[in-house]
Amino acid sequence: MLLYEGEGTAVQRGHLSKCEFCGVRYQRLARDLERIGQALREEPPPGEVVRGFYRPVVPWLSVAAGLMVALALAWGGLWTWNPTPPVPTDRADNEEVWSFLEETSTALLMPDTASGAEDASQASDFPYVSAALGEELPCEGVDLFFGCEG
Amino acid sequence: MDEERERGLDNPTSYEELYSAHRQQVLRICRVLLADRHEAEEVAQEVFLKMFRAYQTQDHTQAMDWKPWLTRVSVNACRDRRRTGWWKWWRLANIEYRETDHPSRGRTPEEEVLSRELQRHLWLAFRKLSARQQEVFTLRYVEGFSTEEVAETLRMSAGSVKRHLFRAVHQLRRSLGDHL
Repeated sequence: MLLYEGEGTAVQRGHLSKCEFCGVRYQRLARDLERIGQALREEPPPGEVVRGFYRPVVPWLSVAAGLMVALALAWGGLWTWNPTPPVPTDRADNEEVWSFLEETSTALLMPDTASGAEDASQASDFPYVSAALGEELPCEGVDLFFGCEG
Repeated sequence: MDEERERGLDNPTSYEELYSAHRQQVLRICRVLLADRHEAEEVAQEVFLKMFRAYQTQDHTQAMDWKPWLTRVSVNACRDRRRTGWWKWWRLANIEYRETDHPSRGRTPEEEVLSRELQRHLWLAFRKLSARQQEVFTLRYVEGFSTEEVAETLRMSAGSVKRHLFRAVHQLRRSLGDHL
């Protein structure tokens, strides 16, 4: 093939001219290429025999892709138009989870709560300190028998 | 080729002369690459329409070699058609075989059957080649371009052309086996 295309060394060309076997192979290659070229110059045989070789792959891929998209759209449409009602959560089953979450949130918020409580206690101590200094005690609730005048 | 030179067709000047000089070659390349006479004619029309536009904008004071240009445009047009024309497979799949489309060229019935059988195998083997291999093989062994001309037309290196040719010939001979 290389020699046919004008390549190869002088030694190889010399061998080709001397070796009968290689000479026959070379001639056969030249003849085959000539026959192939001649056949291709003529009218191609009809229709589906040769035409469909590379083409069927593409339509089948396209059809398959189209079907996939259609199925996905259909499934998506059904899911959107008929949404499943939310399943009521079983409070009993989740009780541990809820208690854990409450504990966690309490623990997380503890520093702020503590300081808030401190402030609150400071605020609530103020009337008692004032009372101790001579003022009246604050009313802490409704006295059913005597009422509250605070 | 010498006859064409004598008739002055190697350097035609008007669009009509260019069309007459290159029509058969363009049509043949398209037919081999598309394996369909009708599609080949459509693509060849597109190629000559492009040539007409290029001809109108060309500087006519300088001679231009249209053969490599037309060959390159034809090969590219066939490649585009193969990429986008898959849908025609559905339309054309049911075309009936007509004897009138395939004249016997003066052969005996036995020779005709053998020739058709060989041709069918050959085309099938040819269609199994990659698009690039088909293009290179067509220009080299159907159109008779030199390796360098093929490389220049398809804007490839000569080494690449030879590689494609080698693989194409190897695959064709393997596919055809005893049919040759």
